[in-house]
Amino acid sequence: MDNYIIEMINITKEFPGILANDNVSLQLKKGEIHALLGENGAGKSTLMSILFGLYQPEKGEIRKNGKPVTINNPNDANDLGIGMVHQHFKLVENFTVLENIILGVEPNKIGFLQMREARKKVLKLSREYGLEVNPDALIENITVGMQQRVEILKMLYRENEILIFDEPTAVLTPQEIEDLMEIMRGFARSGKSILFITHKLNEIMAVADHCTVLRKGKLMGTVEIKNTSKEELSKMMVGREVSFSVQKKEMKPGDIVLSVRNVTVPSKIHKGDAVKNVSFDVRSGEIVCIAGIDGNGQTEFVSALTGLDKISGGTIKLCDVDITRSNIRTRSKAGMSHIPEDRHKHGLVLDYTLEQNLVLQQYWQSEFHKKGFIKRDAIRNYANKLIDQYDIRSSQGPITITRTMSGGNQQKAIVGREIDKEHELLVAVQPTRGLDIGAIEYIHKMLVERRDKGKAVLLISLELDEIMNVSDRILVMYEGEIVGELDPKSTTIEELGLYMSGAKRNIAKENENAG
Amino acid sequence: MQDRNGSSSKLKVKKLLKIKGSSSFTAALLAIALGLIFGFIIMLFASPANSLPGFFTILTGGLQRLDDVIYFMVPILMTGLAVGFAFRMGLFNIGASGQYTMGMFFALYAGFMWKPPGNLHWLVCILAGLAGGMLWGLIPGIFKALLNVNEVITSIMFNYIGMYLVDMLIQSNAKMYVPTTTRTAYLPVSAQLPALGLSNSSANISIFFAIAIAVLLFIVLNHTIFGFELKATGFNKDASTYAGMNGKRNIILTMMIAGALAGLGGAFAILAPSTIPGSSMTYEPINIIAANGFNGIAVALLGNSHPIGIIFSALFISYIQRGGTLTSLYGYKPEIIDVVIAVIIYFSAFAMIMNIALGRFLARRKEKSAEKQGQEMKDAYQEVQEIDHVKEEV
Ligand SMILES: Nc1ncnc2c1ncn2[C@@H]1O[C@H](COP(=O)(O)OP(=O)(O)OP(=O)(O)O)[C@@H](O)[C@H]1O
Ligand SMILES: [Mg+2]
Repeated sequence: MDNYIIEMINITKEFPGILANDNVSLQLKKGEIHALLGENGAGKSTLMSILFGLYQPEKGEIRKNGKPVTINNPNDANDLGIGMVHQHFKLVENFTVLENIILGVEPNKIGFLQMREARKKVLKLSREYGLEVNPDALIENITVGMQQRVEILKMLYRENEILIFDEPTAVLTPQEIEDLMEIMRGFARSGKSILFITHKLNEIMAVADHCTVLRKGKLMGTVEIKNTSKEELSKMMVGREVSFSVQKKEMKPGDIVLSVRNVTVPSKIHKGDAVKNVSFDVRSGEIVCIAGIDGNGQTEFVSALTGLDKISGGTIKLCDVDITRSNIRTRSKAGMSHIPEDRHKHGLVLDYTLEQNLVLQQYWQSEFHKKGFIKRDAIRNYANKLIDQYDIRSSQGPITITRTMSGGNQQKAIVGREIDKEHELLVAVQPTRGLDIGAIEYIHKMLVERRDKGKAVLLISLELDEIMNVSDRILVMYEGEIVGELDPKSTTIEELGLYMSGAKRNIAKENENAG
Repeated sequence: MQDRNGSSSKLKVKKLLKIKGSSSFTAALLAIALGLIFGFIIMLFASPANSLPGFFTILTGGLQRLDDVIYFMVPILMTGLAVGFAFRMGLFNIGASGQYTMGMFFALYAGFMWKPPGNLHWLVCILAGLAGGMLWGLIPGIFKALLNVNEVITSIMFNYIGMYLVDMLIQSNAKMYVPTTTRTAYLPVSAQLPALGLSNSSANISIFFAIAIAVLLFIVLNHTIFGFELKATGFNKDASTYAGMNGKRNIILTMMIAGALAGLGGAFAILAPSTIPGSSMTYEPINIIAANGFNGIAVALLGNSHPIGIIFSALFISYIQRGGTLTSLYGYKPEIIDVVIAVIIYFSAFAMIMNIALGRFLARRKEKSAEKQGQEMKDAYQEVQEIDHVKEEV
């Protein structure tokens, strides 16, 4: 019959309070790319973690080439040729690329020859599959895209045949995604089998052979990509039709809410400035998007705007109040909400409960304490409200330890918290990263609703679709400068791309420091 | 699946708390058991014939001297709290010794030099001790908050500065120091803490203060916004910054509180009533860092930095120390008990620090292997350049 390299049969996995996988089966053919689709918290990462030996299922069987196997830990998985790139990378920051790749399987006695051999092997693999890396760079200094290539090389170095990718594209730029798709096709051609989790249906349509869909822990079915469509997949996954375009009324811009003038921010990596002399306004009732390829100063600009880092020149005014040198709490009180880029570093205290994280920006308000004593009931009620409203799914509701929640639901918690907090300006950095299509639709609706309620929204995004669909005005950032201001209604994605790559600009380079 | 029901979630909270509490409790018990086994093995080697009765004494000896167990428990309970509380914010307060010594000195000073009216002299001495410790926590706190100097370094320095300063100040004060005995003079009775009334015992009311303070800290940590900020900072400093918490103020405040706790420990120790009428506890200024400060680290680790857990771990360590001193009856050196305790600490500390240390451990490993690899890397580099050329051509 069919030669399945991996079969997971009737897998059931329970966490306290939730069935993460409920009798799920999945069959992977040799040499195919098999996508795994499902809403946030549907149990995709859990299922893959079981295959990788991180969790033990309560019920079910795993077979390789038809023979039952037990996988008690990642080492067992590795022995069976199974490798995984996790949703959140597991690299050692202050190691070099090469060291990370060989970590754990380094030649026993690190002698001259072995080290050289390792390096040779890594470079050979990197050439073979087009995975460009600099073996001597430190992880902390390389882009997310390159970090991911390091993770992939780790699997290849271990000669894994079955490669699991948990949301690999969530953190990549469009170009990097293209490259990754090509790399994955290359793997499949060379006989490797791939399991690929993603929320982006375009990617599934582009590379996958089959797609298995999960919903709330249950198997919805496996379909052949040839015979299906985006619409059908999304319906299977969410249980209803999802609209891919954003419905918006005409915008009615009002007063200036955010005014940025000649802002300059020094770089942490090189000697120059990461943000150079940037000026723009955001009015109430409009969504302004800063577009750009990752690493062109957006991160540094947002850090300076939100108070995480200092600026070296220029002024920032929020609702006519100068907040250039204000601390973060003052900015927050002045009406700034901030959905941060890095949810684990800034957005959440992972060891706190969900409810504690939901009040992380507001615990100090009189609503939640009385003379410094926390009002637990008030927090619980508020948390339950947000959990309902934003459909934040977790195993134990408000008292779930946030670390155990699925990535998408962690993101929903942050988005809910920041949108619900009193604000005039919402700074949203990649707010839909890692979210399922249903949740993305919802968040986009919320952003538009903010704008219609007369709030100012500053969106920082790498997703071209999101930029084109959601924003009212696009500012393109290239090498720390705003090089273009575009109207999404009269611009094409191609044109936007030209601006983002620096090939075109419609704002003159200005050297003077106009106030 | 998802729980949105208030009352059942309350039940679950309790359940969760129980599970969480009991798991760290079991971890501590396991650590203790391992430590005891190891201690027994050492006793077996030291003197096989006496090992069983000796070990039995360690386990039960404390029962005969329960009042001493209480008396010796108070100072390490306080230093344990001083370390544990700061640790919840991610600060390693290794300076509990210096804070303890400072507290003791301030208490002594108030005892000898001040004569407040009424019968509250001892209370004034306690508060003086609190202030002394607080001062010695405040300084490293300020260094950390404003100049970002690692608190471990400053507080180690302040252990020495505090100790030498105190010894010097005492020796040069004729009212406090008796050169012939090389110890401090006897404190007036009014400055000594009221005893618990057990005959022939130094156990005193400070145990109630200490336990009340532990409970107070528990409330601060779990029911106040200060505690919320403190723990958030300890778990994830970046997120606490992002949330607009005032890290500088909180660091200073936390170190002040920690210092005050250790200072109280020193005051409680020196102000305890003597069993011999007409005398008092005395301090010998011989340039030794107070051991109770370091015992506090052990107490805090075993108690998992949880105020209530620290009460029990202080009780346990004090108890086992009392039993240990009695093993000398069987020819064992009292130091044997130090080994046992060190092992207990080692195991419990290991379990707790594992997670945090893993990253640092890897980094250290890297440093080592990097040294070794340095040369190979350089040699290999040549090769790579060649390979890279090939790559460019492809
Ligand atoms: N270690 C854990 N302890 C308790 N619950 C967990 C744990 N890991 C996952 N869960 C729960 O299991 C469910 C499935 O989580 P999982 O991470 O597999 O989702 P997912 O499909 O990968 O979602 P996402 O797209 O958001 O990453 C979630 O409700 C999550 O809260
Ligand atoms: Mg996931």
